[in-house]
Amino acid sequence: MFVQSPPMGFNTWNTFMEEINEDLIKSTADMMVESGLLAAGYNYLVIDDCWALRERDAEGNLVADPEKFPSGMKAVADYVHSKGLKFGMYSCVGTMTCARYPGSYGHEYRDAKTFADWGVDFLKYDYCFRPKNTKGVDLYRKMAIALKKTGRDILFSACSWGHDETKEWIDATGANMWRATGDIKESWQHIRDLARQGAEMNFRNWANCFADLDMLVVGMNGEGACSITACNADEYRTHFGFWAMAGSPLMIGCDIRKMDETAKEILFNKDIIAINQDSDMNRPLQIAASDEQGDWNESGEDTYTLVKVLENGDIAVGFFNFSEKKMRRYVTPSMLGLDADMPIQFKVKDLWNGEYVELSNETLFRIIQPHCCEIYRYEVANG
Amino acid sequence: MADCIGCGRELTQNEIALHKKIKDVRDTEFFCIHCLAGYYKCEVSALEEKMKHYIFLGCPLFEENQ
Repeated sequence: MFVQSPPMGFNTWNTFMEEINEDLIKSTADMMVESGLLAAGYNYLVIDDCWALRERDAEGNLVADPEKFPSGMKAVADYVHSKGLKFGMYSCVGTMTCARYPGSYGHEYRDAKTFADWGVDFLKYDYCFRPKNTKGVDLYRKMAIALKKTGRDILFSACSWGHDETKEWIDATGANMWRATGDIKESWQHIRDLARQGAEMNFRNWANCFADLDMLVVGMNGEGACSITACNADEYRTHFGFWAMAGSPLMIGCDIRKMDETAKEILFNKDIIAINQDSDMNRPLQIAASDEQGDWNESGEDTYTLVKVLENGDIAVGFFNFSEKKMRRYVTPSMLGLDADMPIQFKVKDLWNGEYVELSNETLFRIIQPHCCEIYRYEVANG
Repeated sequence: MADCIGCGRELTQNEIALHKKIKDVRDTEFFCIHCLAGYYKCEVSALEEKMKHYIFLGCPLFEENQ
Protein backbone atom coordinates (compact mmCIF):
# COMPACT_ATOMS: atom_id res chain seq x y z
CA MET A 1 0.00 0.00 0.00
CA PHE A 2 1.09 3.59 -0.55
CA VAL A 3 0.05 6.00 2.17
CA GLN A 4 -0.59 9.30 0.43
CA SER A 5 -0.94 11.62 3.41
CA PRO A 6 -0.28 11.65 7.16
CA PRO A 7 -2.68 9.23 8.82
CA MET A 8 -5.43 10.66 11.00
CA GLY A 9 -7.46 8.98 13.70
CA PHE A 10 -7.68 8.12 17.38
CA ASN A 11 -5.52 6.06 19.73
CA THR A 12 -6.53 4.77 23.17
CA TRP A 13 -3.22 5.24 25.03
CA ASN A 14 -3.08 8.89 26.08
CA THR A 15 -6.36 8.79 27.97
CA PHE A 16 -7.04 5.16 28.78
CA MET A 17 -3.71 3.26 28.90
CA GLU A 18 -4.66 -0.18 30.26
CA GLU A 19 -8.31 0.73 31.00
CA ILE A 20 -9.60 -0.42 27.63
CA ASN A 21 -12.48 -2.68 26.69
CA GLU A 22 -14.91 -3.52 23.95
CA ASP A 23 -17.55 -1.03 25.08
CA LEU A 24 -15.02 1.79 24.99
CA ILE A 25 -14.01 0.92 21.43
CA LYS A 26 -17.57 0.63 20.20
CA SER A 27 -18.71 3.87 21.84
CA THR A 28 -15.62 5.63 20.51
CA ALA A 29 -16.35 4.31 17.02
CA ASP A 30 -19.93 5.57 17.31
CA MET A 31 -18.74 9.01 18.40
CA MET A 32 -16.10 9.27 15.68
CA VAL A 33 -18.93 9.03 13.18
CA GLU A 34 -21.61 11.01 15.01
CA SER A 35 -19.32 13.90 15.87
CA GLY A 36 -18.10 14.27 12.31
CA LEU A 37 -14.52 13.25 13.04
CA LEU A 38 -14.64 10.58 10.35
CA ALA A 39 -15.97 13.07 7.82
CA ALA A 40 -13.16 15.44 8.82
CA GLY A 41 -10.60 12.75 7.95
CA TYR A 42 -9.97 10.96 11.25
CA ASN A 43 -10.56 7.43 10.02
CA TYR A 44 -8.27 5.15 12.08
CA LEU A 45 -9.38 3.84 15.49
CA VAL A 46 -6.32 2.27 17.16
CA ILE A 47 -6.20 0.09 20.26
CA ASP A 48 -2.82 0.53 21.94
CA ASP A 49 -1.07 -1.75 24.47
CA CYS A 50 -2.78 -3.93 27.11
CA TRP A 51 -5.39 -5.63 24.88
CA ALA A 52 -3.92 -9.15 25.05
CA LEU A 53 -3.72 -11.94 27.60
CA ARG A 54 -0.35 -12.20 29.37
CA GLU A 55 0.31 -15.59 27.73
CA ARG A 56 -0.05 -16.84 24.18
CA ASP A 57 -2.26 -19.87 23.55
CA ALA A 58 -0.96 -23.41 23.15
CA GLU A 59 -0.25 -22.83 19.45
CA GLY A 60 1.65 -19.64 20.19
CA ASN A 61 -1.02 -17.19 19.04
CA LEU A 62 -1.81 -13.85 20.64
CA VAL A 63 -5.16 -13.89 22.42
CA ALA A 64 -7.35 -10.89 23.12
CA ASP A 65 -8.23 -10.63 26.81
CA PRO A 66 -11.77 -12.11 26.98
CA GLU A 67 -12.64 -10.01 30.01
CA LYS A 68 -11.88 -6.82 28.09
CA PHE A 69 -13.03 -8.04 24.67
CA PRO A 70 -15.62 -10.79 25.27
CA SER A 71 -16.77 -10.81 21.65
CA GLY A 72 -13.26 -11.37 20.38
CA MET A 73 -11.11 -9.01 18.37
CA LYS A 74 -12.54 -9.90 14.98
CA ALA A 75 -15.99 -8.89 16.16
CA VAL A 76 -14.57 -5.60 17.45
CA ALA A 77 -12.87 -5.00 14.10
CA ASP A 78 -16.10 -5.83 12.27
CA TYR A 79 -17.98 -3.29 14.36
CA VAL A 80 -15.40 -0.60 13.69
CA HIS A 81 -15.50 -1.37 9.97
CA SER A 82 -19.30 -1.27 9.96
CA LYS A 83 -18.99 2.39 10.94
CA GLY A 84 -16.79 3.14 7.96
CA LEU A 85 -13.64 3.37 10.09
CA LYS A 86 -10.35 1.54 9.86
CA PHE A 87 -9.16 -0.59 12.78
CA GLY A 88 -5.74 -0.47 14.38
CA MET A 89 -3.87 -2.55 16.94
CA TYR A 90 -0.54 -2.67 18.71
CA SER A 91 2.43 -4.93 19.23
CA CYS A 92 6.14 -4.59 19.86
CA VAL A 93 9.50 -5.59 18.31
CA GLY A 94 10.64 -7.15 21.57
CA THR A 95 9.89 -10.18 23.69
CA MET A 96 7.32 -8.13 25.60
CA THR A 97 5.35 -4.97 24.98
CA CYS A 98 6.10 -1.89 27.07
CA ALA A 99 3.39 -2.98 29.52
CA ARG A 100 4.79 -6.52 29.60
CA TYR A 101 2.28 -8.27 27.40
CA PRO A 102 3.59 -10.73 24.78
CA GLY A 103 5.73 -9.01 22.14
CA SER A 104 6.12 -10.18 18.56
CA TYR A 105 9.83 -11.01 18.61
CA GLY A 106 10.20 -14.43 16.98
CA HIS A 107 6.46 -14.48 16.18
CA GLU A 108 6.30 -11.85 13.45
CA TYR A 109 4.70 -13.97 10.74
CA ARG A 110 2.27 -15.64 13.11
CA ASP A 111 1.18 -12.33 14.62
CA ALA A 112 0.89 -10.60 11.26
CA LYS A 113 -1.44 -13.38 10.13
CA THR A 114 -3.46 -13.05 13.33
CA PHE A 115 -3.87 -9.32 12.78
CA ALA A 116 -4.82 -9.82 9.14
CA ASP A 117 -7.35 -12.52 10.04
CA TRP A 118 -8.94 -10.15 12.55
CA GLY A 119 -9.23 -7.42 9.94
CA VAL A 120 -6.57 -5.05 11.25
CA ASP A 121 -5.78 -2.06 9.01
CA PHE A 122 -3.05 -0.40 11.13
CA LEU A 123 -0.33 -1.81 13.38
CA LYS A 124 1.53 0.34 15.91
CA TYR A 125 4.83 -1.43 16.66
CA ASP A 126 6.67 -0.34 19.79
CA TYR A 127 10.34 -0.72 20.71
CA CYS A 128 10.48 -2.11 24.26
CA PHE A 129 12.35 -5.27 25.35
CA ARG A 130 14.32 -5.50 22.11
CA PRO A 131 16.93 -8.27 22.51
CA LYS A 132 20.41 -6.81 22.82
CA ASN A 133 21.87 -8.55 19.76
CA THR A 134 19.19 -7.23 17.40
CA LYS A 135 18.85 -4.07 15.34
CA GLY A 136 15.74 -1.99 14.99
CA VAL A 137 16.08 -1.76 11.22
CA ASP A 138 15.99 -5.56 10.91
CA LEU A 139 13.05 -6.04 13.28
CA TYR A 140 10.92 -3.36 11.63
CA ARG A 141 11.76 -4.71 8.18
CA LYS A 142 10.84 -8.21 9.31
CA MET A 143 7.38 -7.21 10.50
CA ALA A 144 6.84 -4.99 7.46
CA ILE A 145 7.46 -7.99 5.20
CA ALA A 146 5.28 -10.22 7.37
CA LEU A 147 2.43 -7.73 7.12
CA LYS A 148 2.81 -7.36 3.36
CA LYS A 149 2.78 -11.13 2.91
CA THR A 150 -0.62 -11.42 4.59
CA GLY A 151 -2.09 -9.87 1.46
CA ARG A 152 -3.97 -7.30 3.51
CA ASP A 153 -3.20 -3.57 3.41
CA ILE A 154 -2.02 -2.83 6.94
CA LEU A 155 -0.51 0.58 7.63
CA PHE A 156 2.71 -0.01 9.59
CA SER A 157 3.43 2.50 12.33
CA ALA A 158 6.95 2.18 13.74
CA CYS A 159 7.34 3.47 17.29
CA SER A 160 11.06 3.48 18.10
CA TRP A 161 10.96 6.98 19.68
CA GLY A 162 13.67 8.18 17.30
CA HIS A 163 16.21 5.95 19.06
CA ASP A 164 19.24 4.33 17.40
CA GLU A 165 19.21 6.97 14.63
CA THR A 166 15.80 5.84 13.37
CA LYS A 167 15.69 8.63 10.84
CA GLU A 168 18.69 7.16 9.04
CA TRP A 169 17.09 3.78 8.28
CA ILE A 170 13.35 3.81 8.81
CA ASP A 171 12.47 4.55 5.19
CA ALA A 172 14.33 1.37 4.25
CA THR A 173 12.07 -0.88 6.34
CA GLY A 174 8.59 -0.59 4.86
CA ALA A 175 7.16 1.45 7.75
CA ASN A 176 4.51 3.99 6.69
CA MET A 177 5.00 6.24 9.70
CA TRP A 178 7.68 6.45 12.37
CA ARG A 179 8.01 8.00 15.78
CA ALA A 180 10.61 10.71 15.56
CA THR A 181 10.36 11.81 19.18
CA GLY A 182 10.07 10.62 22.75
CA ASP A 183 6.67 9.96 24.33
CA ILE A 184 4.19 12.79 24.71
CA LYS A 185 2.43 13.60 27.96
CA GLU A 186 -0.14 16.32 28.41
CA SER A 187 1.92 19.27 29.56
CA TRP A 188 3.09 22.43 27.84
CA GLN A 189 6.71 21.45 28.47
CA HIS A 190 6.28 18.16 26.62
CA ILE A 191 4.65 19.83 23.65
CA ARG A 192 7.48 22.37 23.54
CA ASP A 193 10.18 19.69 23.88
CA LEU A 194 8.70 17.50 21.13
CA ALA A 195 8.41 20.52 18.84
CA ARG A 196 12.11 21.11 19.42
CA GLN A 197 12.85 17.52 18.48
CA GLY A 198 10.86 17.88 15.29
CA ALA A 199 12.61 21.11 14.38
CA GLU A 200 16.06 19.69 15.19
CA MET A 201 15.64 17.01 12.55
CA ASN A 202 14.51 19.71 10.14
CA PHE A 203 11.06 18.16 9.74
CA ARG A 204 12.51 15.25 7.82
CA ASN A 205 9.46 13.54 6.39
CA TRP A 206 8.54 11.50 3.34
CA ALA A 207 5.31 10.45 1.68
CA ASN A 208 4.55 6.85 2.67
CA CYS A 209 6.91 7.19 5.65
CA PHE A 210 5.62 10.07 7.76
CA ALA A 211 7.55 11.42 10.74
CA ASP A 212 5.30 11.12 13.80
CA LEU A 213 5.66 13.69 16.61
CA ASP A 214 3.40 11.42 18.75
CA MET A 215 -0.29 11.48 19.47
CA LEU A 216 -2.24 14.66 20.16
CA VAL A 217 -3.17 15.82 23.65
CA VAL A 218 -5.68 18.40 22.41
CA GLY A 219 -8.79 18.23 24.57
CA MET A 220 -7.40 16.16 27.44
CA ASN A 221 -7.94 19.03 29.89
CA GLY A 222 -5.87 17.41 32.61
CA GLU A 223 -7.75 14.12 32.49
CA GLY A 224 -6.40 10.81 31.33
CA ALA A 225 -3.49 8.56 32.12
CA CYS A 226 -0.88 10.58 30.22
CA SER A 227 -1.86 13.96 31.61
CA ILE A 228 0.55 15.82 33.89
CA THR A 229 -0.83 19.36 33.73
CA ALA A 230 -3.74 20.61 31.66
CA CYS A 231 -2.97 22.88 28.74
CA ASN A 232 -5.04 25.90 27.77
CA ALA A 233 -6.75 26.64 24.47
CA ASP A 234 -3.82 28.62 23.03
CA GLU A 235 -1.41 25.82 23.91
CA TYR A 236 -3.64 23.20 22.29
CA ARG A 237 -3.82 25.37 19.13
CA THR A 238 -0.05 25.76 19.00
CA HIS A 239 0.38 22.01 19.52
CA PHE A 240 -2.09 21.08 16.78
CA GLY A 241 -0.92 23.76 14.38
CA PHE A 242 2.73 22.76 14.69
CA TRP A 243 1.96 19.06 14.27
CA ALA A 244 -0.14 19.90 11.21
CA MET A 245 2.51 22.09 9.57
CA ALA A 246 5.21 19.50 10.31
CA GLY A 247 3.25 16.89 8.35
CA SER A 248 2.92 14.65 11.39
CA PRO A 249 0.12 12.10 11.62
CA LEU A 250 -2.80 13.52 13.60
CA MET A 251 -3.90 10.87 16.10
CA ILE A 252 -6.32 12.17 18.69
CA GLY A 253 -5.54 11.14 22.27
CA CYS A 254 -8.36 12.70 24.30
CA ASP A 255 -11.63 10.94 25.17
CA ILE A 256 -13.57 11.99 22.10
CA ARG A 257 -16.85 11.18 23.79
CA LYS A 258 -16.13 14.17 26.04
CA MET A 259 -14.67 16.65 23.54
CA ASP A 260 -15.38 20.24 24.57
CA GLU A 261 -15.97 23.12 22.18
CA THR A 262 -12.32 24.18 22.22
CA ALA A 263 -11.17 20.70 21.24
CA LYS A 264 -13.76 20.58 18.45
CA GLU A 265 -12.76 24.04 17.17
CA ILE A 266 -9.17 22.88 16.90
CA LEU A 267 -9.53 19.28 15.73
CA PHE A 268 -12.14 20.13 13.09
CA ASN A 269 -10.26 23.09 11.54
CA LYS A 270 -10.46 22.05 7.91
CA ASP A 271 -8.06 24.73 6.69
CA ILE A 272 -5.28 23.52 8.98
CA ILE A 273 -6.06 19.87 8.27
CA ALA A 274 -5.73 20.72 4.57
CA ILE A 275 -2.18 22.00 5.20
CA ASN A 276 -1.35 18.70 6.89
CA GLN A 277 -2.96 16.60 4.18
CA ASP A 278 -1.67 18.58 1.19
CA SER A 279 -0.89 16.12 -1.56
CA ASP A 280 2.53 17.56 -2.41
CA MET A 281 3.82 16.62 1.06
CA ASN A 282 6.54 19.26 0.97
CA ARG A 283 8.21 19.64 4.32
CA PRO A 284 8.09 23.03 5.99
CA LEU A 285 11.18 25.19 5.98
CA GLN A 286 12.18 27.33 8.91
CA ILE A 287 12.95 30.87 7.85
CA ALA A 288 14.59 33.63 9.85
CA ALA A 289 12.04 36.41 9.93
CA SER A 290 12.89 38.32 13.01
CA ASP A 291 12.93 41.91 14.06
CA GLU A 292 14.50 42.43 17.47
CA GLN A 293 13.59 45.28 19.78
CA GLY A 294 13.49 45.63 23.52
CA ASP A 295 11.70 42.81 25.23
CA TRP A 296 10.86 40.89 22.09
CA ASN A 297 12.23 37.42 21.69
CA GLU A 298 15.62 38.28 20.31
CA SER A 299 17.33 34.94 20.32
CA GLY A 300 14.65 33.00 18.45
CA GLU A 301 14.90 30.10 20.86
CA ASP A 302 11.70 28.06 20.86
CA THR A 303 10.18 30.31 18.19
CA TYR A 304 9.62 29.11 14.66
CA THR A 305 8.51 30.65 11.41
CA LEU A 306 7.62 27.81 9.08
CA VAL A 307 6.90 28.07 5.36
CA LYS A 308 5.33 25.26 3.37
CA VAL A 309 4.66 25.21 -0.37
CA LEU A 310 1.32 23.61 -1.19
CA GLU A 311 0.22 21.53 -4.15
CA ASN A 312 -1.66 24.33 -5.97
CA GLY A 313 1.10 26.91 -5.52
CA ASP A 314 -0.32 28.48 -2.37
CA ILE A 315 1.99 28.92 0.59
CA ALA A 316 1.34 28.20 4.27
CA VAL A 317 3.14 30.38 6.80
CA GLY A 318 3.07 29.53 10.49
CA PHE A 319 4.40 31.53 13.44
CA PHE A 320 4.89 29.37 16.54
CA ASN A 321 5.92 30.83 19.88
CA PHE A 322 6.94 28.15 22.36
CA SER A 323 8.92 30.71 24.38
CA GLU A 324 7.96 32.83 27.41
CA LYS A 325 8.37 36.16 25.57
CA LYS A 326 6.41 37.89 22.82
CA MET A 327 7.60 36.98 19.34
CA ARG A 328 7.66 39.74 16.74
CA ARG A 329 8.05 38.68 13.16
CA TYR A 330 7.55 39.97 9.66
CA VAL A 331 7.41 38.16 6.35
CA THR A 332 7.76 39.79 2.93
CA PRO A 333 6.72 38.21 -0.37
CA SER A 334 10.34 37.84 -1.45
CA MET A 335 11.05 35.78 1.66
CA LEU A 336 8.46 33.36 0.31
CA GLY A 337 9.78 33.35 -3.25
CA LEU A 338 7.07 35.70 -4.48
CA ASP A 339 9.16 38.28 -6.28
CA ALA A 340 7.75 41.55 -7.61
CA ASP A 341 8.35 40.51 -11.23
CA MET A 342 6.03 37.50 -10.94
CA PRO A 343 2.63 37.93 -12.64
CA ILE A 344 0.71 36.97 -9.51
CA GLN A 345 -1.45 38.41 -6.83
CA PHE A 346 -2.30 36.95 -3.47
CA LYS A 347 -4.65 37.15 -0.54
CA VAL A 348 -3.63 36.07 2.97
CA LYS A 349 -6.06 34.11 5.10
CA ASP A 350 -5.79 33.58 8.85
CA LEU A 351 -6.53 29.87 9.18
CA TRP A 352 -7.69 30.02 12.81
CA ASN A 353 -10.45 32.58 12.29
CA GLY A 354 -10.97 32.25 8.53
CA GLU A 355 -10.57 35.98 7.89
CA TYR A 356 -8.42 37.66 5.28
CA VAL A 357 -5.80 40.04 6.63
CA GLU A 358 -4.69 43.42 5.35
CA LEU A 359 -0.99 43.63 4.65
CA SER A 360 1.22 46.69 4.99
CA ASN A 361 3.28 47.12 1.81
CA GLU A 362 2.60 43.45 1.14
CA THR A 363 4.38 42.59 4.39
CA LEU A 364 2.83 40.47 7.12
CA PHE A 365 3.79 41.93 10.51
CA ARG A 366 2.75 39.85 13.50
CA ILE A 367 3.23 39.83 17.25
CA ILE A 368 2.74 36.35 18.68
CA GLN A 369 2.09 35.98 22.40
CA PRO A 370 3.89 33.30 24.43
CA HIS A 371 2.56 29.77 23.83
CA CYS A 372 0.53 30.99 20.85
CA CYS A 373 0.60 30.44 17.12
CA GLU A 374 -0.81 32.00 13.97
CA ILE A 375 -1.09 30.19 10.67
CA TYR A 376 -1.79 31.84 7.33
CA ARG A 377 -2.41 30.67 3.81
CA TYR A 378 -1.13 32.86 0.99
CA GLU A 379 -3.70 32.19 -1.73
CA VAL A 380 -1.69 32.85 -4.85
CA ALA A 381 -3.49 33.64 -8.09
CA ASN A 382 -2.22 34.47 -11.55
CA GLY A 383 -2.13 38.24 -11.96
CA MET B 1 23.66 6.92 42.25
CA ALA B 2 23.42 10.30 40.50
CA ASP B 3 22.53 13.68 42.03
CA CYS B 4 19.58 15.86 41.07
CA ILE B 5 20.57 18.51 38.51
CA GLY B 6 18.12 20.88 40.14
CA CYS B 7 18.88 20.71 43.88
CA GLY B 8 21.89 18.37 44.12
CA ARG B 9 20.14 15.82 46.30
CA GLU B 10 21.13 12.19 45.81
CA LEU B 11 18.56 10.46 43.63
CA THR B 12 16.85 7.13 44.15
CA GLN B 13 16.65 4.64 41.31
CA ASN B 14 12.93 5.20 41.07
CA GLU B 15 13.40 8.96 40.75
CA ILE B 16 15.78 8.40 37.86
CA ALA B 17 13.25 6.00 36.34
CA LEU B 18 10.44 8.53 36.75
CA HIS B 19 12.50 11.25 35.09
CA LYS B 20 13.26 8.98 32.17
CA LYS B 21 9.66 7.86 31.86
CA ILE B 22 8.08 11.30 32.17
CA LYS B 23 10.65 13.51 30.47
CA ASP B 24 12.95 11.62 28.11
CA VAL B 25 14.51 8.19 28.40
CA ARG B 26 17.58 9.50 26.56
CA ASP B 27 18.41 12.06 29.24
CA THR B 28 21.66 11.41 31.11
CA GLU B 29 21.06 13.93 33.89
CA PHE B 30 17.97 13.82 36.05
CA PHE B 31 15.67 15.75 38.35
CA CYS B 32 14.45 14.53 41.72
CA ILE B 33 10.70 14.20 42.02
CA HIS B 34 10.39 17.64 43.61
CA CYS B 35 12.39 19.40 40.91
CA LEU B 36 10.58 17.40 38.23
CA ALA B 37 7.29 18.64 39.67
CA GLY B 38 8.70 22.16 39.50
CA TYR B 39 9.71 21.69 35.87
CA TYR B 40 6.24 20.57 34.91
CA LYS B 41 4.50 22.99 37.30
CA CYS B 42 2.52 20.20 38.90
CA GLU B 43 2.12 18.73 42.40
CA VAL B 44 4.59 16.13 43.69
CA SER B 45 1.61 13.96 44.55
CA ALA B 46 0.62 13.88 40.87
CA LEU B 47 4.04 12.51 39.96
CA GLU B 48 3.91 10.03 42.84
CA GLU B 49 0.64 8.72 41.37
CA LYS B 50 2.30 8.43 37.96
CA MET B 51 5.16 6.47 39.51
CA LYS B 52 2.78 4.04 41.17
CA HIS B 53 0.96 3.60 37.86
CA TYR B 54 4.13 2.87 35.91
CA ILE B 55 5.25 0.36 38.54
CA PHE B 56 1.82 -1.29 38.35
CA LEU B 57 2.09 -1.48 34.55
CA GLY B 58 5.41 -3.28 34.90
CA CYS B 59 7.77 -0.67 33.52
CA PRO B 60 11.25 -2.24 33.81
CA LEU B 61 12.91 1.07 34.65
CA PHE B 62 11.58 0.94 38.21
CA GLU B 63 13.22 -0.97 41.06
CA GLU B 64 10.13 -3.07 41.83
CA ASN B 65 10.10 -4.50 38.31
CA GLN B 66 13.76 -5.49 38.04
